[in-house]
Amino acid sequence: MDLQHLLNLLTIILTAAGAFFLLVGSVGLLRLPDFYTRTHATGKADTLGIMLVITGLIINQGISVNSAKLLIIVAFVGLTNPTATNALARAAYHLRLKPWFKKDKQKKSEKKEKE
Amino acid sequence: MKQIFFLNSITKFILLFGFWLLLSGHYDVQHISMGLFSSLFVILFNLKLRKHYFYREKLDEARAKLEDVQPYRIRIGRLLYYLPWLVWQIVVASFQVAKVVLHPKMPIDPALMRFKTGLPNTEARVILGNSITLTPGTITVQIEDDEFLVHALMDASQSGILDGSLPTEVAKLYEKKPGQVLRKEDIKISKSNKGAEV
Repeated sequence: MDLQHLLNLLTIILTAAGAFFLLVGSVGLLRLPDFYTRTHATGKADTLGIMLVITGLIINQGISVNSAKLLIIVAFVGLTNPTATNALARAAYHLRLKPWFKKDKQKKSEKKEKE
Repeated sequence: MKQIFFLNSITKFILLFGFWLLLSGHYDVQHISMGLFSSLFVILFNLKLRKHYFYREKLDEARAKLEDVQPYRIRIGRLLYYLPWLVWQIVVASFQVAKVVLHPKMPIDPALMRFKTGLPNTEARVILGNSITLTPGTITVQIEDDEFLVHALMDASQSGILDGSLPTEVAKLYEKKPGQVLRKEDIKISKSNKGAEV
């Protein structure tokens, strides 16, 4: 096994791990109960997912102009992703959207049982 | 002052355009004119915003000069330590969140945390806010002056803020020995809509 094979293997592992985290983000978007918790899934499972995928691609490309561009993409995602997530959460907060809490949910189900 | 702002805009334009040329790699009329247009568009699009921040920055500088305090500058060396540290935090938190999301019973326990920090300036607050949002499991919902409102997905996500490690690292970007950035008593955690002023 020479170096090229090793690099390819590393690329595959990293990209697959990244895809896994992106998948977790989508699953979370479907499963989680309310807006705030769903923002967690969409906004941030992506963070690690994208970082892993791009790191894999950089390793695949070696040291080149393309790698530099990919690095810049990581930096931009790192800056814009939290900003957008924050804007969403803040907008929801200002519209007085009430967050989902475990305790409230339990109380509701207790009430239902009494009825 | 207006002139300085104009010059500032021109420099920004040249930087943007240079960046375009660096990235595009095609040097014909079509691509270069596209670059010119988009750089110009970006500059004009956020002109108002930049004006606001430009004047506020100048105001802050003048105020610092009057009061004879050294304005805080970010320490590049510390940044080299901070970024990998943050990435590591993101990795750890991602695994926690992935575990909870994929768990059949989904044992989440969301909480709203409200706390005040003693960070030196706006820039530091923005860095802290973005870092909190970047780490999976926590979102900054609102920053008002010194007060942060953070939504946490579960108890384990709170730990980075509760033990003060994240705010302290951010403060260290600006000061060598920051004072106590966050007091534990100041953190208010609410886990119910009742009695909360949401």
